[in-house]
Amino acid sequence: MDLLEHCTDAGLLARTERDPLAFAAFYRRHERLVFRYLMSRCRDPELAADLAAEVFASALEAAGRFKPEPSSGSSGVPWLLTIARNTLLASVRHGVVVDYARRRLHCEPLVLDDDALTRVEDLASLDLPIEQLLAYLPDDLRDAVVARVLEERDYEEIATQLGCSQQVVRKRVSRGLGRLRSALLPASQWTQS
Amino acid sequence: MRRREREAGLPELEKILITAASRMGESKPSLRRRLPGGRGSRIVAIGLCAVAFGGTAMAATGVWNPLVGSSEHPAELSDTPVPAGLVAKLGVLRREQTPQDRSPEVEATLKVGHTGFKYKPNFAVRLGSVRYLRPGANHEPTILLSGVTTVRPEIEPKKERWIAEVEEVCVARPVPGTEEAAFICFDRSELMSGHAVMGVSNPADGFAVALGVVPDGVATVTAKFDAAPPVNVPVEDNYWELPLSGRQLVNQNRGTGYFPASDPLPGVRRTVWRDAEGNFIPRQDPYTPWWVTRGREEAKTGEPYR
Repeated sequence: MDLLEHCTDAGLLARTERDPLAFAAFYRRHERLVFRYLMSRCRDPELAADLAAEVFASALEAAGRFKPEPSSGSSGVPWLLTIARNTLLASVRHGVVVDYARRRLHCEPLVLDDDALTRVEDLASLDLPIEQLLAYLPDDLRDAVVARVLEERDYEEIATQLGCSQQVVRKRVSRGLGRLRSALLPASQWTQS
Repeated sequence: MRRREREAGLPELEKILITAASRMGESKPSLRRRLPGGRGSRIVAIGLCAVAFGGTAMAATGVWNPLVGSSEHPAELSDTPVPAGLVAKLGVLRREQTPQDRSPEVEATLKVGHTGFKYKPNFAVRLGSVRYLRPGANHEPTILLSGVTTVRPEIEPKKERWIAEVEEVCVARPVPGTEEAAFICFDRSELMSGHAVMGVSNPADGFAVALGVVPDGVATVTAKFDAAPPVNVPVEDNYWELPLSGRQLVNQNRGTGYFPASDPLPGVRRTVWRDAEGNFIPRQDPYTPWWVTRGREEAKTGEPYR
């Protein structure tokens, strides 16, 4: 039983300052997504864990200021991935993993043994739940992808339901799948290279 | 689709984050000193308490000192009065605290609610506000109480001047099949805008309920679903609860907006208030997350729960 499991991302972040467990739930919900994103780019579990710690510390620090984008509902995924991207870029620019947020929050250092590093690799290699993948997409793309790919409905039927042309639906499905591909490289691509 | 949290893959990092989040609330002055009217004076606090309860007899007499939370993580207690504004909105707080409100069963709920209290170091419970609501399946009652959460100052030095106390009304609801009680708190805006709604479930036991707190005047809550007919739920002691099953559980977590406005619980899309005659009651306030006001209202008025 987890009381917070029904909260939206926006709800969890809004409650973080009152209830630290809300942020723990947010962390658990998006842990795999962030690790997979970071591992796909740095390919080193220790580095990815260090980066992830800074990403989530930054998110914790900014939780009270989170405002969901209209296009993504109450999902915090685009916001979190933006933080991850900025953390990654700042670290590349400085040549070290930045730790600004962790220092401001006086976070303890993250010490990982071999077992933990293996778990980081597992985290990044596991398939993401479809719900979490779809949360990455704006509403219009998500609806199109769900209707076409998951529900296997005809383009004509989807177009009628969404009140747009079949061409628009095809474009949305294509863009949605493209976004998912670009954000989440399959594990095989980075483990083999 | 049902969103289920799993165990963290890297609990080491989760623990660090929880500690950091908890620490945010610890760098604050002592609670009593900053509460309106408190200023460290027990006499003043007692005086305000009588005012806050509108002259009603102050509950069961005598010392009541139950364990709130667990012995490892006891909850902080506040001897400040329940804000008059909150008492005025919730009849359940205007009645006397009875022996049943202090019964061993209630104490058990206060104790098993430890998961909620454990990581709320900035939350203080008012024992005088604890009220028995209704019995549970195994005699553990659902209870209501008020408390105050002290919100940390912003990280940026220039903003450290604001430190908000968020007044909250909370429900502890024992969960069948577990040793826990779900513990959820609502602030003023959530209560008055109809968003003091929450879902509690234990999928392993097939248990799911929607519950909520409403202000005086609301006699029935109509729960509306995406995939099931609406259900009217009677309100008692400002509290309602609805067992959920079947298609009532369909399609949660698809809304937009802020918790708990959009998808407060499994399946329930929104709720409608009705009075004793069945007339629709409009929401009294728009929903404004507490952090938008940042405690400015409290600073101005000294009355956080008007």
